[in-house]
Amino acid sequence: MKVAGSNDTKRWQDLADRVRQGDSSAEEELSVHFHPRIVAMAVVRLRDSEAAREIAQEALLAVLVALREGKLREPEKLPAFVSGTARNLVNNHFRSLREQPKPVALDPETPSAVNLETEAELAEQRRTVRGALERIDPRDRVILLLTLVEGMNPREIAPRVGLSTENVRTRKMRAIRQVTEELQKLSRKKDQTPLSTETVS
Amino acid sequence: MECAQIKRGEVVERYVTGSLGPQERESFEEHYFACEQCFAALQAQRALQAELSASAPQIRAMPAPNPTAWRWTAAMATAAVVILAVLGIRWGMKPDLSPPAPPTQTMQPGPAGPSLAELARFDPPTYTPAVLRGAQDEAMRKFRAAMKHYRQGEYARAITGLREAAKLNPKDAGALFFLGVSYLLSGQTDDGIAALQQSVALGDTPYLEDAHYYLAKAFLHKNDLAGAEAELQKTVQLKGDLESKAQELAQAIQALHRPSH
Repeated sequence: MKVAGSNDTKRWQDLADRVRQGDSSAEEELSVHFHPRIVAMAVVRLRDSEAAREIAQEALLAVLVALREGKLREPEKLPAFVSGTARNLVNNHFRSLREQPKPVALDPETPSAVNLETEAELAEQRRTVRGALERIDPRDRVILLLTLVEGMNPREIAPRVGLSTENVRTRKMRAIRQVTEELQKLSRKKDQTPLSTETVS
Repeated sequence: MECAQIKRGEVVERYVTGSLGPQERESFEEHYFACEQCFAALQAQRALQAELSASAPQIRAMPAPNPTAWRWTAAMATAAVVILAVLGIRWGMKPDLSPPAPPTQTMQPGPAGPSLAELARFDPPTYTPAVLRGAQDEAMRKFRAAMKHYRQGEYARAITGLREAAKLNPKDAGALFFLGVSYLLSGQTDDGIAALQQSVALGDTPYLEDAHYYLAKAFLHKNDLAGAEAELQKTVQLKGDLESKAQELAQAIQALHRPSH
């Protein structure tokens, strides 16, 4: 798998150029590619999906303004520029939370209009994950819970489920792979629609 | 950072659980902002994490097989057969190699009382919609919609609505209480504690006793026995419906302190 190979470098340069020249389809392409990534980053860091969506909007706007004005000096580093912009906004959000009295910290802004297509997709994704979880061994479900929700490592989990550390690691990886594969099948099905996102590879 | 390194180092998993160092985290973020494959893996693990959070109470409630106990009983049974056979030979008797009796409970190692994790567990408190007079305001509508998700066990969705309800009416002790409980049920203990403490801070409300009791559960989950005991003491002092449950829980915690003889 590649990261920032020559094709990618060209891709980001082209995309940045097209945005600078006012190509609206380039702006849409940029948004389709980076918006879910910014949301993912902000949710992981903030544990607040509403604030994450706001930050994603703000970050995309800041990136688009910078690109339109030709302020990105190294367009081949567009992904790093977007992730850096988003990270700054997340950090600003953290700072503003610290400055506010505690009750306000729980109150993010109401999100904008809900995209019904996204809601339907999320519901299908939840069904897929739930189905995949039901099909795995109950002990593997416990291992996944302790790993991904409780943040425990295989050494800590092993005595709780009565398995060796290595066995826990193997079972965990197998279970994650199983669920991931089912989700990827779902994603491939979705990508067969004409509005599918582009692939980088 | 490269894809192979990410797979080998279980970076995606460590990222979603927040256990990557700052530099590694930034490096992974820069990577998945460009990489489709790693971003797909990240989204899959986030979806899995969300579903596991939502169904955590059911997964925890399921009696997991205890292979350690099984291995002990199997090993002990085998040892018993061997010992009997040896003794039989020594005593000049024909060894009885018939299958051993089924293992008994006494052969299984196990704790005498409930563990801390068991004490921290709880069933979601029930919510019964009150009959309201007059028109409902926006905060109440949000609260009721969120509580539909709560009653269906969709705690992540309940959290979203309850946060909105609490934003619209910051003095709604009920919204803050169920928000706190929903966080706890989703595995977000610190957020749960914060919301429950806000509910408590509103003073004498119908949720005060419950908020103290579930704060005790949250502190138990964090292994903070002193914090849990303090909350249970406050629950007992209120002399409400949870008085005896709080006393029993406090006694069980004290039993954990005592050395076993």
